[in-house]
This record gives sequence, C-alpha cells and structure tokens, in this order.
Amino acid sequence: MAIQSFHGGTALYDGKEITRDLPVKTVLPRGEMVYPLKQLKGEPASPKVAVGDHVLTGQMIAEAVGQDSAAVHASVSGDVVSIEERTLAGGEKMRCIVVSNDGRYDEIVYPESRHISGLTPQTIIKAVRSAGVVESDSFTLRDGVSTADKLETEHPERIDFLIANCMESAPYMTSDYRRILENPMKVIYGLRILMKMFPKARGILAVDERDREIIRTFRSVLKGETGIYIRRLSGRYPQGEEHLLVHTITDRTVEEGKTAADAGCMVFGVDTLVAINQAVIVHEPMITRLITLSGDAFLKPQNYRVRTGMSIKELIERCGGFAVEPELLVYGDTMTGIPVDDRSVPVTKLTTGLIALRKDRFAKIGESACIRCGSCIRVCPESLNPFLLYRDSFKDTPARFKRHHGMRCISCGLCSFVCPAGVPVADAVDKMKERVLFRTETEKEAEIL
Amino acid sequence: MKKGPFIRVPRTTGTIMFLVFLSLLPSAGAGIYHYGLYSAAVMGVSLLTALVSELLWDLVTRKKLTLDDYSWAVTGLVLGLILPPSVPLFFPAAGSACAILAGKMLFGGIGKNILNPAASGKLLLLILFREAMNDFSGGSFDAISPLQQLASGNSVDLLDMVTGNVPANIGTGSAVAILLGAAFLALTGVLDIRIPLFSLVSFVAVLAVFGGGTDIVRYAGQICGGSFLFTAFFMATDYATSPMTGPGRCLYGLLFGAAAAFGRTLGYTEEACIYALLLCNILARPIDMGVNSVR
Repeated sequence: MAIQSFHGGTALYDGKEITRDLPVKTVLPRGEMVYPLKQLKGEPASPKVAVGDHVLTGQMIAEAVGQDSAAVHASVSGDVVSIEERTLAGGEKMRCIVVSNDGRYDEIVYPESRHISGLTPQTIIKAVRSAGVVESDSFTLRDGVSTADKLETEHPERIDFLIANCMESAPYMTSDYRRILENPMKVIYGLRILMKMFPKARGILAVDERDREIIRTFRSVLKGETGIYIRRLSGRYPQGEEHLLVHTITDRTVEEGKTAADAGCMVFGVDTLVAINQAVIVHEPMITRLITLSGDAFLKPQNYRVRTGMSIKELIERCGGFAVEPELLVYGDTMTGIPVDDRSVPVTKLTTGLIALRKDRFAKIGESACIRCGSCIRVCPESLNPFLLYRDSFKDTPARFKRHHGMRCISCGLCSFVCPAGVPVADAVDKMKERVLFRTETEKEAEIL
Repeated sequence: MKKGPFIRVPRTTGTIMFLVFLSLLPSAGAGIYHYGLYSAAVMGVSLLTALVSELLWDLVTRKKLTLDDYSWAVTGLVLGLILPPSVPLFFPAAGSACAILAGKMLFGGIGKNILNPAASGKLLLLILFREAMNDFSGGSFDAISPLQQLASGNSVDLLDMVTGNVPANIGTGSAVAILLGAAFLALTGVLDIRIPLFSLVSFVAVLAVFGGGTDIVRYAGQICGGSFLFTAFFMATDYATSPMTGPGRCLYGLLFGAAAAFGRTLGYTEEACIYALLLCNILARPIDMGVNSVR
C-alpha cells in the first residue's frame, strides 16, 4: 500500500527506462582536473598545496574554513598546474585548483579501515568532515550543505528518524537505482553508521512503490537486521523532496525557516550515505560521482562512475559522445537543472547527471500572459499560491512574499511545468528566495556591525 | 541564463482555447440547424471582427501579436452564440469589437480583464438596442422566447427546450448541444465542473425560496431557458474572470446561480444571466483575495 500525503504533485514522464537496466560503467579521465574551492555557502576552502606540487589521489589539497565550508581532495595523481578562476556549471567564476593528470592514479596511503562497532559520534563527524562530504541542499538548488555540519545538530537526542531517500524523483536520473541494485550494502552500512550516532533513531528506506527490484533487493539484504524499515511511497513527483518525505513518513511538518532536524528527522540521499560509509570505514574522501547521462542525444546513455574535477567536455567524449548534437544539454535533471553553454566546466561533488535532448521542444513555445487558470495553485506540493508568489517576485515585495509563505517553496518546478502560458514562475520564485535570504543575511550582518 | 524546468505539459493557452472553441461547435451547429444559415453569418461576422479588432490593436500599440492564443476566436464565437438569430449584422460587428477592445485589450490583454469580454459586448448591445436584442424571431420561429411565454401565462414544451426547437439566442437554446460540448470540455480537463454545478444548486434553491413550488417542469424550464446553461457552463467558467482556487470557484458558482435566479424573479427573463455574470465577474478578484488571506 503506497502512501501519499501531499496535495498536487504530478505524474511526469521520467525517462528512467533509458538507463535503468544498464550497469554502472567506470570511466577514468585523462585530461586536466579542476577542483573549485567553494562549494557551499561559507568561506572557500584554503589551499594546502602550491603550484608545482605533486599530489596523489585522495590527498586533501584544500581544507575547510569554518562552517559551511568543505575540504577538497584530488581525485587523480598529478601536478598542480595553477590556482586560478575558472567557470563553473552555474556560469559563476570561482577560484579553483587545477591539476594535470598523470594517468597513474597513485593513491595516498590510506589508514587501516575502521570497524563499525568501535565508532563514536565524534569519530564519525571527524571522518565525514575530513573526507569533505557534501550533499545538495533541497532549498536553494545551487549551494550544497556540509554533511558534517548537518550531523553536528544541536539536539541529537531528538532525532528519531533517519530517512534514506531512495525515491530518486528527479526525471531521467537512475544513479541511485543502479547503486542500490549493484551495491545495496554500502547504503545500508551508511545508514547503520548514522544509527550509531543517533541511537534513538529508526532507519527508514523511503522507496518508490513502483521500484519492485529495489524493494526486493533491500528486503533480501535486510534479513535479520533490526531497526531499519522499508517504507513504500507513491511515485508522484516530487515525493522525494525532503519536506514531503518527512511529512509523509512521520506526519510532522517542517516549519518555515526550520530544518528537518527540528522535526526530529534527517534525510540523506543514497550517494551521501555511501560517501559516509566510505569516509568513515575506509577513510576515502569524496572523489567519485555516479552520474547519469541520459536523454535521446547520447550515443551510450548510461550511469557512469567518474572522478570529480573532470570537465563535462571530456565526460561526454569518454562516454561515447553524442549520436546527434543536442539542442539542449542540461546539467542536472530536466526539472531543476541548468543549461550547459560552456562544456569546459567541471564535474563537482554535487553533480548528479547530464541530459542531452535532440529537440528542445519547449523553447519554441515561449512565454505569454498568465490567464489565471489556477493550474499552478492546484499542483503545488506545499499548498502555496505560485500565482501570488510570482507577482510578489515580479514586483519585488519581500514582505508580501514572506507573508504568502514563499520561503516554504521547495523548488520542485511544477508551477512552471504546468503553466499553459509558459510563465517562468519557478525561476522567478527561486530568484526571489535568494534575494530574501541575501537580504536577511546582510541585515543580520548589519546588526552585528 | 535560462533555467528549468525544461520539460512542460504540452498544453498551451492556444490548446486550451482551441478545445473551448470545439466545445462550442455543437451549439453553433444547433443554431444553424434551427434558425438557418443567417446565424452562421452572424457568428462569422463576430469572429472576423474579433480577429481584426485584436490584430489592429496589437499593430497600433506595437505589441507582439496575441492572435495565436485563439482567445479572440472563443470571444467571437461566444458573442455570436448569445445573440438572437436575426439581428442585423452590425450587431455582432459592434459587439465583437467592443468585446475585444473594451472587454479585453484595454484592460491589458488576456488575464487582466475583469469582465467577460463577450458579456461586455452583449451588454453594450442590450443598452443600445434592448428591443431588438429581446426579439427572438428567426427561421420559422416567432419573436417570443419560452420564458417570456411562461411569464405571460402560456405553457411550453420542455422537450423542445431541451433540443433547442424554440426561439432563443443562436447557441443558447439547445440544452443537449450545450451539455455535449460541456462534457467534452470537462473530459479534456479544461472545464472546472464546480462552477456550473454550484450555480445549478443555488439557482434552484433561490427559485424555490422565491415561491418556486414543487413543479419540476417549471424548474427545468427555468434552467433550460434564458441562456442559463450556456452562461453557467461556458461563460462563468472563463479562467480570466473567475476565481483561481477551488473554494473560490465553489463560492463563485453559488453567487452566480443565486444572482441569476434572483434576476429571473425580478422579471429579467432573458437578461438575468448576463447581468448576474457581470456582477459576479466584479466579485471574482475580491473572492481570490479573500480566499488567499484565509489560506
């Protein structure tokens, strides 16, 4: 029996059949690697190497500075070519450490593996932090969150649900699906490690009820394990959003301006759980990503295990290139991603996939006037009024925007998805959220000053 | 930088308007069948004037052409359908031009208008030519509509009212044609059935309160006559002039039905629905604001 607890949402074409039945393929880059120093809201990481230094795979090349900052590691062995500004996928320019790839993949010497029984919360957090584990923030789509910061929550005794987000609501993405089928134990171990940190918590595997293979796999590996439960949820988009998961599974609401932890829950993606396992048990930093290359323009759409720092251009080449040059190349998924103009941008720890579409069917439709049909209101999973929020964003009235609960928006993109007039509602609301956050932070800074 | 989503529902404003246009065709067909080819000329003039008016406005104001959303076609056809069958052709021309220019473009274009464009066109004609607008002669029919007959004490054949075999406006006489089109529109997900449904409920309730009695035939006659069905299903449901939220729409439906029934009891047999609609149009935005402040 599947449960769905939110209004709205929609079933959408998810493109999963293109890549879900193919195994993950490992691709080793040969070209230059680019590591951005800033991936989160806080200070950029501070480089520990200089131009000319030789680095090894897994070596920390920049260390975190304070909160909301994450360590950077080399994913190949080679020499540091420069520390300079490069363009990233969002179009922004950022200081990066550029490393030439000697192709040898010499690794640092890893310390002996830890055993789960000896773990303490301090060890876990320290290991996660020094491995530079980051995850995407469901609220603003650009910045990430330092997992170690997230784990260092103020009231760990209040956490009673640790939710593994196995839903993979994003269209075209199947990396979580493949990872669970091919390596379910890493996901379970990641969850187990966290359950040691939060002894009161139950482990929940939130799965899409249509993913029978996943449910079967989990059931078979969970035989005899206690404390971890499978919860089957409806596949309606965007059930996999953090706030909706919390509400559906625990019936609790995440209040505006608060986090899931305030509701006693922590939600982690599959890749984060695996990264936690790798960091804590074998001391491996976050240097590989499972990326889904999908859409109808790639020659070999599939999931690929790649190294962070690899350029999109090389990624496309090494994975077989295009069958047909795409009209649209998207970094991320088709609901929340961004278009790629400059293919020299690097793969980062937050990259999830690349979608190449032969035809950009909706570019030609263009934007026209709102007809007040109310579709956006009906579809919003957070029961907001996107029509009003669009107007507040357009007119830049932050007080009204907040009064209309604009800060509760989870950036699922459905309002723009259903709009028959092509009004860019989701984009406008996103930008307004950023403006409101920025204003709040500068106000806070002004107060301190 | 363009941002997602990069996939969308394939339905555009133009698609929606086209579906509405299709749903009006049964009524148009019934009109031509009952009242002759002249009705087609009335509808044709209305459509053409709508097209030309919007085109000229866009050109003169140097705006991007808005014709591809086909809303002019819906306004043009609706106006034609709510006119009596033998009005002189300058009626649909004037009404349609007024509908497009004053009823829609002057407000800022589609979505920004407060009044239903076709209704405002008909309002102009009602003010200027009240007698001609209440003369339903056309084809083989005489000038007096079934409701007007009932008002002066004669009886009418309900079956005739259902099939449209009565004097009426071109497209509002045949309940069957209207319901067929409405069913199509509902099944394609365009029509929000709440507005017409709640209108029906309050219409009957208010009629009952004002001495309706228990004669079902009388109620059926009131529902089938005087453009009530057409207005409730095709005009009160216009997106731009009706509330956007579910509760808002239910309230709107209740108000429209009540206002129309009230108008009937006051003696506005044929025009009650248009006046009720225009009144409710004015209330649509306050309803939206009220619902939002409660949410």
